[in-house]
Amino acid sequence: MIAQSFSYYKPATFKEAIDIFGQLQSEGKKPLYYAGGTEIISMTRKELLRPDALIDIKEIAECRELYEDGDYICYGSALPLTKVIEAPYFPLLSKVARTVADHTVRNRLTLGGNICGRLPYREAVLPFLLSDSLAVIGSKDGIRTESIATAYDKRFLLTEGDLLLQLKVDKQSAALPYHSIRKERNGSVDYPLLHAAAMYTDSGLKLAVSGLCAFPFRAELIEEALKGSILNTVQNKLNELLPSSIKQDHLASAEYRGALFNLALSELVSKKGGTVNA
Amino acid sequence: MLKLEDIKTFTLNVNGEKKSVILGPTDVLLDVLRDKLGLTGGKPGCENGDCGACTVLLDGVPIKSCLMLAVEAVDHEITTIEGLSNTVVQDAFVNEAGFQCGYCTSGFILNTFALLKEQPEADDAVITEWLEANICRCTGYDDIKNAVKLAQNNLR
Amino acid sequence: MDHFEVVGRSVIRKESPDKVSGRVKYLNDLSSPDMLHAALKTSTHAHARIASMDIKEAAASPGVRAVLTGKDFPQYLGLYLGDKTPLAINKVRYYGEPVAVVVADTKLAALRAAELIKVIYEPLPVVDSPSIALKEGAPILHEEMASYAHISAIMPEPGTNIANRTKIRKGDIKSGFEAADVVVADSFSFPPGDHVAMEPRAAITEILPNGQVIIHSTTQAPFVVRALMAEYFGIEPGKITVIAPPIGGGYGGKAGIQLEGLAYLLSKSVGGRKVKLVNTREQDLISSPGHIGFEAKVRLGATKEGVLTFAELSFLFDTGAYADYAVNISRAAAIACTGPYRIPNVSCDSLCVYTNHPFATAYRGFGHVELAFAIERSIDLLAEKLGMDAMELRLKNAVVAGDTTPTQSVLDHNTGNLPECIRRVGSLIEWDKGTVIKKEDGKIIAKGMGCLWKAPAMPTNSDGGAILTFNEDGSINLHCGAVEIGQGIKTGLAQLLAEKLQMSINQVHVVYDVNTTVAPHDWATAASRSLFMVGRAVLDAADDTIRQLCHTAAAVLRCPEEDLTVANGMIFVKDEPSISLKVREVALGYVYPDGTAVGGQVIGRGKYIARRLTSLDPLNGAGNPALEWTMGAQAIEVELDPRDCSYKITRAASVMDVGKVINPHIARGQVIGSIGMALSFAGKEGFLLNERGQVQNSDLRSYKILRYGEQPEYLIDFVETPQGDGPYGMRGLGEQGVIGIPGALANALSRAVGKPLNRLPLTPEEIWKSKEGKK
Ligand SMILES: Cc1cc2nc3c(=O)[nH]c(=O)nc-3n(C[C@H](O)[C@H](O)[C@H](O)COP(=O)(O)OP(=O)(O)OC[C@H]3O[C@@H](n4cnc5c(N)ncnc54)[C@H](O)[C@@H]3O)c2cc1C
Ligand code: FES
Ligand code: FES
Repeated sequence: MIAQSFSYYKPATFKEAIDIFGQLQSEGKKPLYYAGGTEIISMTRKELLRPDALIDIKEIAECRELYEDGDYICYGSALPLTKVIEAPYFPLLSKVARTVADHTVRNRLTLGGNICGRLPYREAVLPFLLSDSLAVIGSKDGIRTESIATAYDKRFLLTEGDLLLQLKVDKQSAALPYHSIRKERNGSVDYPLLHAAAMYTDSGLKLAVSGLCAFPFRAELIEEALKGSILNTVQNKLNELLPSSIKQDHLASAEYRGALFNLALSELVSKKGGTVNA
Repeated sequence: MLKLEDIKTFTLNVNGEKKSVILGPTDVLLDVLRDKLGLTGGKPGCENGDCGACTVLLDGVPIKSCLMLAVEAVDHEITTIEGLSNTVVQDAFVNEAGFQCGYCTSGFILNTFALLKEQPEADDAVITEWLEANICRCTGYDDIKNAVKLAQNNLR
Repeated sequence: MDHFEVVGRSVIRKESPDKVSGRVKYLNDLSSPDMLHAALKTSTHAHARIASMDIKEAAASPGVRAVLTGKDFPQYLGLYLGDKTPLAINKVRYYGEPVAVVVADTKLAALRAAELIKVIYEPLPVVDSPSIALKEGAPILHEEMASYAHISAIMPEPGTNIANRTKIRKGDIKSGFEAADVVVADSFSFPPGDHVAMEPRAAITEILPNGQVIIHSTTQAPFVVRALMAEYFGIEPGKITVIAPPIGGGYGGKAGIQLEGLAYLLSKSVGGRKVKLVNTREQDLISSPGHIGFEAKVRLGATKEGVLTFAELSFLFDTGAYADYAVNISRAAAIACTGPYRIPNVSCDSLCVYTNHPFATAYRGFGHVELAFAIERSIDLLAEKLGMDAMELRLKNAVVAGDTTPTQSVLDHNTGNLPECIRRVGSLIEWDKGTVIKKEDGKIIAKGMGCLWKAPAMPTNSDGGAILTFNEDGSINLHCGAVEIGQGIKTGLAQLLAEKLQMSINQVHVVYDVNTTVAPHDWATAASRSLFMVGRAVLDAADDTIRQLCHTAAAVLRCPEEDLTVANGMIFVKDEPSISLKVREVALGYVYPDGTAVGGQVIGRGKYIARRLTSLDPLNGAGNPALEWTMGAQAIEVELDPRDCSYKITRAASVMDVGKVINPHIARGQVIGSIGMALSFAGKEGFLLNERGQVQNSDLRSYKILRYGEQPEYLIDFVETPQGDGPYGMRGLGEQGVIGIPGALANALSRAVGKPLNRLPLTPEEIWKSKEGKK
């Protein structure tokens, strides 16, 4: 049972959504876009989040689209993960998204909610970080499309009131060979201690990681290092190559997470097309 | 645009019946089913999306009713355990004793029911993928597994 | 009497149709518009002085009827030791301790108001393990201990953090040590955790104008609740009615007294109105009591032939902030301290120690999971040091009839056949095919074994009762005080009755809700003793019923009463069955063709009280506290990836001597459920506590328990050495299946990595650290 009060709006268009967001804000209220609700409901119940209004985006046509055309595959942000997983276009995304929460929760939990959520894992973003992908963002100035490289740094860089409408992935990069490894404390229905996903291109391995640090990231420094040096060297100087220190919390020590990451690196490198000697 | 700022009367479609119910924006579906409609078959086990005891079907798809606002269910079909009667799945849970205390049971049955409808030939991996969403503390899962298998066979 | 019609068959559970259709009404499913609702405010500190509490805003919040704090309820309550007020007064002793409660018209109003209560804490130093609690200068958590009321069987030590100490002294440790060629010594531990019954605890209480107190509760022990409520609050017992509906999992966590005392006080504070108090999952995990924590030191010696010569044991039970059942858990562990092994010289000090952790109560296994983990690991360490096979060492020292227990009582001829259990479990798990096998892919398959024994830990005067009444069709209603907690007790009892009366199980109707004003007295649905003790009462009631039926029938049939018998719904002359009456013609009084009625209705009464149990000698623990001992052996097979030490539990085997299996499917289900729970406990569970004693995993997102798909293949068998005084020869089996598993799992994993794993939970990281030699 949720003990606080907020109001609920279900706009039919993204324009309406943006407008009502702005309007509520100008009234001094704190609105939130509401997608699968899995995070918002648990956090409001626990009083960890206190929105004044929820703006449900699930009726907005753009947010529900799922199609491929020309060069791109398009995923609406309000698609439940189950739908994303079942779509045949992007095998790594299906594999990675399958590990989030559990099957029943994934029937509600959305792609956009996972990626824009507050938790440090946001695993569904990993495949997008690895491919040439675009974020379609609705804002009060209309719709803009940004490359993931500029739209994401530790988290999605959305201005308050911006709405992630869609994610688009270049078909060719979605079809690249891939591998991913997820490790939990002890049992699969849990947050990851480590989730490492890789895609293999002619120029080397691309790597994105969740669970290891306080946010999911594309491990560009490691990708570069792997091109130049042998794996062992890379593994020995992880500290320099990671965007922040390795997380230490009640689920695992930094030491163990680091060990898992090194094991994963070995496996990912040995798996396919690695340009370095393992 | 649907707006719900205070309370309003809505119609919910539950177990094939139209039910008129007063909803507020913060009302969670599980609480509405239990407290306003008297459908207590779905249980609060965690109210946090973790245990599956509150599972109901939304247009045939299992969801955790503790993680959904009731107003979101308007215009959808909700099935609770009370909406199933003498199904093959329920019979299988009886015959294989797929429960002990029974608190988790409606969630397991609804999830299994939806699974076997969608994927009658589900293999072990798929069955696990679906059923790992529910926690049972009593059975060690063996009799539940047997019940699912029996139901699957009997549906063939 | 070898041929059973009903006993020994997998009769389908009586409650099946209701449970698969969502129609069973658990306590929280009951509601009525006149009901008020309560919400708790709990502590955010593990140990702190309550500097101030401001309830003004909460009290003024809409719909609020009362806001109550510790000072409103100064009574000390406790199951065996009165160490706890219903709400904390002046200081909190654990994270999650209730400090205030709101009663309001709706649950929502109560929750909203609880949010408005403002508490300011001044943190105090945290005692975060039992060994620290015993150190010189450790903060004393219960300064008032000397004034606490307690039962005579426990011995609190005021001025310390010791709530109880049980001493076992058997034989002579010194000579046992001298006789030993090989000695192992090690420490073992695990943190406190929770039962995680899927149904959170709840109570609904009202006080009628005539003084009748009506308590609906998720309780395994409605009669304990009645007795304690009467004692604490000075209510006439006859004015208390406790109603226990079927409950959604107990595992010990709903035995004793839980929310009932507070719920009663709440009702009292709003003029007796009906008040409903339901734990949230978070409160059920940490505010209500859970699974005890444990630290043990074991020294175990044997001759080079592998004959055990002594055991020197120190058990520290981490009861957390309050003692509850734990003072008896530490005592039960002392009684069984050696595990089922023949050890002539034993010394054990078993202490129940206060810390600033969430407090502990009964948990499936009741002290035995704990001691068995320490002992079974030690047996494996000893086997390794002796260079002897661990199964052989167990077989060599397994107790048999004639041996004595740590309390020096002799195991009689009813003792189960433990060696046979060990042999059978060995063959189920294919022990002889190797206990460590390296696979080509680098993974390691390893096996481990653990033995178990357990006797009910209960008062010496524990009892059970049964009343049988008839319906017009000759079918019977079975009334008793045992609560259905998922263990299938009502079905088992119905089977005993149907067997005894040679009638159809479908003609036996069971009553689900237990109402203490109507049902015959029953100690509690705990200690795996219900089918035994209530079963004996049911058989006694069946005999009484047969006597009454035959008495009336004898007059009608004009034959000697003793020539008559009852079966298949008929009362007939044994050697001339055609001379007969139908049970239904007699059960509610026989009516002659002319209308004359005789005999009156048959009401079967049965009872049972534990036989010849005694208390323990405080100096050496000598005594006979055990009704019966269920023994068994269990084994686990794991497949471990040595790189990150993740593992899968592939097979779990269990063989217990249960005397007689009354319902194979239910019995198997109880054992499998126990194993699943124990694997979860040993592999995943336990509170993650930070240095300030705050629980980091207080919801089911982070407190992980076994999920579908993680269960192993279960290999279950039973040995049936009859228990002379058990119904049809049976013994209890509801808890025992948990006991040997943590030790067996740790033994398997230790073998897989070649390092001793003496701490739970056995997460991959914990194993990896041992393997890599890290702290
Ligand atoms: C049982 C369970 C297990 C879980 N396990 C995992 C796990 O293993 N790994 C993992 O990564 N996560 C896990 N989660 C957390 C989960 O990721 C979040 O609850 C979920 O991702 C939120 O998605 P949602 O669609 O429900 O979002 P909501 O709760 O609706 O929203 C979450 C946040 O995102 C914002 N938001 C949503 N959509 C948009 C959008 N289109 N544009 C801008 N902002 C938006 C909202 O305003 C809100 O702040 C688990 C959750 C549950 C319930
Ligand atoms: S109550 Fe909804 S998942 Fe537990
Ligand atoms: S039957 Fe008790 S939780 Fe599943």
